[in-house]
Amino acid sequence: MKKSILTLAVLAGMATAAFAQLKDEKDVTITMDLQPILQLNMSTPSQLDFVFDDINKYYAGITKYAATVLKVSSTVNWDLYAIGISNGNVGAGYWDQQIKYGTGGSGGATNKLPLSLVELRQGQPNNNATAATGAFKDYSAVFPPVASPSGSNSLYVDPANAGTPPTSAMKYIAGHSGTTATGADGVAGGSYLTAGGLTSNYYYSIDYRILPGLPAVFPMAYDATGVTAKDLVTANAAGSYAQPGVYTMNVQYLLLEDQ
Amino acid sequence: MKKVKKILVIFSVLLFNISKAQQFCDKVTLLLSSSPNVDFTFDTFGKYLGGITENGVSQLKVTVDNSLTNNPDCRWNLVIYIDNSSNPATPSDEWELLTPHSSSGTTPKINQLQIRVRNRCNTSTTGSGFFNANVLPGQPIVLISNTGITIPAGSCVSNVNGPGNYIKNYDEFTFDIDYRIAPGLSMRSGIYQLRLKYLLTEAL
Repeated sequence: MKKSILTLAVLAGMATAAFAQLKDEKDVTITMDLQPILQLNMSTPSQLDFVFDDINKYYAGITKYAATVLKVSSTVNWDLYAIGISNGNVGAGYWDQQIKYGTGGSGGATNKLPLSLVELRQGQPNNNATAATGAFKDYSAVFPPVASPSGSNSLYVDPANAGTPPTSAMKYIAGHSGTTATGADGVAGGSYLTAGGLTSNYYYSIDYRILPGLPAVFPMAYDATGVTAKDLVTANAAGSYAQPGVYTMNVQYLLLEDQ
Repeated sequence: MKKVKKILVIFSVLLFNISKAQQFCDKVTLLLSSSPNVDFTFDTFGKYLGGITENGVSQLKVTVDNSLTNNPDCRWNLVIYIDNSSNPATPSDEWELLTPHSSSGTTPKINQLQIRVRNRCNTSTTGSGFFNANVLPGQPIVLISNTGITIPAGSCVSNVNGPGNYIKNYDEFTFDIDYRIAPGLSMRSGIYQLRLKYLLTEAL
């Protein structure tokens, strides 16, 4: 009897195993590589000349409107800033002197022209910089009048001359220092191709102004925060003025992932 | 008496198991006649905005045989399960992040993957167009469903689920799979992965 029960039990197990649901499976693995892309297009000439050959130009300065147009496309959150740089043949933080006219002037003449004497004005304000802490978060202010010098548009120059990005107390064209949040210090990924219009955060026209003044002391030159004056008199001594000559420098625009 | 009861119990179990797992088909076979790996690389704005479509990169060939038993109840299902991770930290509705390229942006959702399943007879119940891979965890996307009604091979209509094979009924038992992804410009850059499990089962 026990054998019969055992046999039936075995048969039950076999029956269960023999009649399992038929199935077959195949797997497909999909891999997606989202690569970060940042593109900065500049559709304007890369060479700008400022020739001061008239008293009015020294006094009122030369302004070049929309001389640079920047268009941004990015797949990641981003920041955009400008920085003044030179080869440093006069010294770090100063324009490079290519030619000295005549004898170079009297004892007050100096060829140490600060890079920050260049002023920028951006047509579209920086709408993504609520975390900025400085007196000026961007270059959207109108150029200050000659009688009221201000560092509101003074070009950012790294005080350490190491090419370091501006801090939260300095100026950015778009976004700002830090990674707090989109809108606070970073612009969301996007493109001028799809986000057009007058208030686009992906399109910036840049005006330039250089105002030597009379005498040529460049009253709009300020430090990286735009607070401390760096005109030739303040930086050197009373009676200082710009030595006549040809000077060159470079304004570098950097588009980088929000940081 | 006790012995009789034991025999009856065992016999009942035997009958129960037979009725629960009765096999109607002789064999089901699913063949993937394409690469098991599909790669999408987004390295231009055009690809981010317009997306990438890979047509026919996966091809499934079905064989369901009941030539031995000739059971009229032999039917089959074909479904897709989407598996996103062996990492429990990955949310159920997101792609698995293998390695990041950046720290900002949002992780892509599984439903950004679009799938189109097609053959000449349009037998897949998902239709002839792309559909988003909207799935709840553990729930499959049904291509051929178990309706309890056998739609025989050769009908060339939706949901053909009777026995047959891709050699004799190519337009009903072969499925070309297309994939499309259009991430847009707000995704966190990195390398992501999903696993699609195509499961062919006998319909019980």
